[in-house]
Amino acid sequence: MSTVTSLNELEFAGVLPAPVIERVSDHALLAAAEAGDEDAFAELVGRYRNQITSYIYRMTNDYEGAVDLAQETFVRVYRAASRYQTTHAFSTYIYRIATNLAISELRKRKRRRLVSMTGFFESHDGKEPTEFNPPDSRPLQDVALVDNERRTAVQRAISTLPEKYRAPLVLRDVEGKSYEDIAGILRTSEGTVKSRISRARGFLRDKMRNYL
Amino acid sequence: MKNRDCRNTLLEIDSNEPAQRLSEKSVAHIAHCSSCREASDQGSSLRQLIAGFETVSAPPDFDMRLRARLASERKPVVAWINLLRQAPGASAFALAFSLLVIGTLAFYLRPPGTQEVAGTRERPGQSSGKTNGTSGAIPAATSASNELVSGAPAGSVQTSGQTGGSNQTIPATASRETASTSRRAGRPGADLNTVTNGSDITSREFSQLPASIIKRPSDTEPGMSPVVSLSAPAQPVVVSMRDDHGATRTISLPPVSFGSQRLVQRGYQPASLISSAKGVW
Repeated sequence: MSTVTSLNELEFAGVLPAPVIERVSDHALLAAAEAGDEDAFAELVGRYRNQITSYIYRMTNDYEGAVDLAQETFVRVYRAASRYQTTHAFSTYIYRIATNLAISELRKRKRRRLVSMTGFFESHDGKEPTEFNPPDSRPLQDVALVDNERRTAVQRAISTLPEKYRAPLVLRDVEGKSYEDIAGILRTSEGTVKSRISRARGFLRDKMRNYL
Repeated sequence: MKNRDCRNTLLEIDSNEPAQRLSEKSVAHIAHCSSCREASDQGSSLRQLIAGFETVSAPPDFDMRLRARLASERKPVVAWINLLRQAPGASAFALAFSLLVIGTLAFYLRPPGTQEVAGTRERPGQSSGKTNGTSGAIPAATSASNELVSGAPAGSVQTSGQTGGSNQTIPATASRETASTSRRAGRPGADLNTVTNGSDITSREFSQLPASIIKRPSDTEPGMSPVVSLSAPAQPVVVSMRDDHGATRTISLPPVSFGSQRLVQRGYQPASLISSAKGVW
């Protein structure tokens, strides 16, 4: 844990507050937030709110739920600031919290047996639901509309992937994380991450065959 | 052989990164394998689609909602701290506890008062039998002595002084049994004999009380006969009078009864007129 307890302790603090605070590392910001510096925590939130919201949205395919879970992620970061250890990058730490929250939400939904109103679900192997959304064979007028339709289909296809394949796929192909970071976030080996990503892509390709 | 090459190629396609090129062996295989070529095209198209996902932005009020959420989570703790601050301190709790203990001790250690006597009166036969084994005369004597002690005579006997203006000392005994018991005991100070009869009622024996000593009031005019009030028990009363010179005279007073008095003084039990008709009416 860094010994910095407040941004005021930094030698450049107070001279150029706004630009300087942007150059402060995540660790220092979290340490300052732990000491009660709300501006430091606000800067930390500003750095990660869009990434975390987008990541959880790709995982859950529910924007409002993703916003709530993103806020819960920051609340947990704030509460557990004293227990944060700098052995991993802060981004790995916050993505791990977000991943756990998203997976918990997905499991809750599975228990509630939520059914999508946009399409029927069929099971690919009898266990996991698969989006049943037959392609529209009529000629489309606009290329942008086609791309939008395909992205929506891909998003829905991702949301039908099993959790253990979905998280590494989103982290790798959507968020652009490295295998090392993904292994740190998911607390597994890089080999396992690569294997799961490969299988997730194979699943997606099979599901999206009619759209590609 | 072809299946193994296809499997390896598909595995490489799925595990490859978007900017990464396939190996020469896979490229050669794709060149003459239509299914693998189609899979490669679909894979690259899929990755382009996924990579084209726009980052979803958080709502504009994200920070404000987050601050409100953090503040609402901090509120219960702050409320408890404020409540503890407003609560009285440990000294107030200690004072209240001390008062409670003192009150409890005072309630349980209070001296036996007239409540126990009243409880005895409710069952006079039982209490008198437990104290000295006598019956009949004890309730009346107890009642008479009680009146002497309390100084609220229900009925009074007027005694005229026979020694003129001299001061008189008139020891009045409640009954002969009481006087004899007092002499045998030889300890006038032992006026109370508390007996617990096994239940929660404690009886007080008044028959062993020493005789009351009544002095003539000093403001009595010379030549006037002092009037001393005595209770009138149902038993005969022996009054011993002593003047200033030490001369003693003893007068035996018969019980003054009008029947109804005896009926009341026998522990609220109706007296048999047939057995005690002599001297009653």
